[in-house]
Amino acid sequence: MAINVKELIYKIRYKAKDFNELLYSDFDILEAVNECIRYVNQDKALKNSDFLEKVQAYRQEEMNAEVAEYNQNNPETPRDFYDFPTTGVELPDDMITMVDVIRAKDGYHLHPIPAVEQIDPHYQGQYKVVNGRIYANTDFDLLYRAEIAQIKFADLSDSNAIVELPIAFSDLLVKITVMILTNTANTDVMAQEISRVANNLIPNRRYNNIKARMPFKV
Amino acid sequence: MNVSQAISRIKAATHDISDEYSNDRCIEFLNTAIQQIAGLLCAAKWPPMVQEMQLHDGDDLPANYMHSCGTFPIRVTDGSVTFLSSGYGEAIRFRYYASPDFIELVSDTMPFEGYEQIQEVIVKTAIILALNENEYDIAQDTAIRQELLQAVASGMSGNNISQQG
Repeated sequence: MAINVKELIYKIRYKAKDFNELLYSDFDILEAVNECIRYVNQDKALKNSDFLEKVQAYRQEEMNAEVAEYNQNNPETPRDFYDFPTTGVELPDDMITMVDVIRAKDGYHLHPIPAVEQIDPHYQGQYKVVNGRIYANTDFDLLYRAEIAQIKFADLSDSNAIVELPIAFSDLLVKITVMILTNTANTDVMAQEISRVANNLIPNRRYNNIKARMPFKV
Repeated sequence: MNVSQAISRIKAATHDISDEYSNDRCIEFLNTAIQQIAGLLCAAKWPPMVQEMQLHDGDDLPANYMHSCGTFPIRVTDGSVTFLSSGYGEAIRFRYYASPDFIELVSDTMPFEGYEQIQEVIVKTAIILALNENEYDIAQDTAIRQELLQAVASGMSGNNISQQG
């Protein structure tokens, strides 16, 4: 499903005619692929695409049990316990935009409230996001659009390492990466080219047929 | 080709009947010529010039290092290497263009074994260097060397299917 890093680098070396590793080191290719991934992230950040939607489960008791275990093992650097309604919990690092927040026990869609207001302690139907943290008076699941993770240096020698994009994106990554390696084009030209290639792919790549709900409906 | 054969060629070409050029002097000519040709072949990105090693933080660059194959996350100061980040593990697989080892003895073999045309250019270059120290007119020899170099260059570009542009 996802793109294998080794295969990707093989294709890039073929396209760049550099199987002998004479022109580009693995480090060159790693940096170019990561630059390409960052462009794709920028491009798809605001698009209505679902292939990188992720769900993060927030369960206060389980998370506090983990914190307690950590604090027991690391008494010098204790971590704070979670209190979802008052101190909130950090959003995922790879989040670009939020899609939905669902109450864990019954799937009820939580309602956002303004960031300055307090979460109602008697009502389990609200959430708010402020300063990179999400607050709610219940356990919940967060559905969000994640950004594609960049490749790390260690991934180069790991035959199982992947780029979290559908295989249909393989040629996009190869083509743009080689452009980055060989061209001195400025970023605007590159961003336009990414946008053009990605636009050809993204609208056709929804996994399900559910229509995206408009923010305002009657 | 052995170094002794190359020296004989140099002495014959320079009509060195009085043994003006010692063996050591001829080896110096050959070493200079080898470095010149190695520089050209590295610039042409000829694959056999590439060597690979595991480079650690704090290592010295190898003595025969000419330039690296692409970019590596290292900084070189006074010949020694510093990694730019600790995220690259113990060692980096480092590929670089290397010059051949210097010739030291008459009994050594010439570098680029199996590549007669390159050895030919090296000997011709060494002969020109030798002649240049005397009053000989080296214009014709230089022209021949240039032709040989071109022949090698076109041969190399045919060999090197990976080379771009």
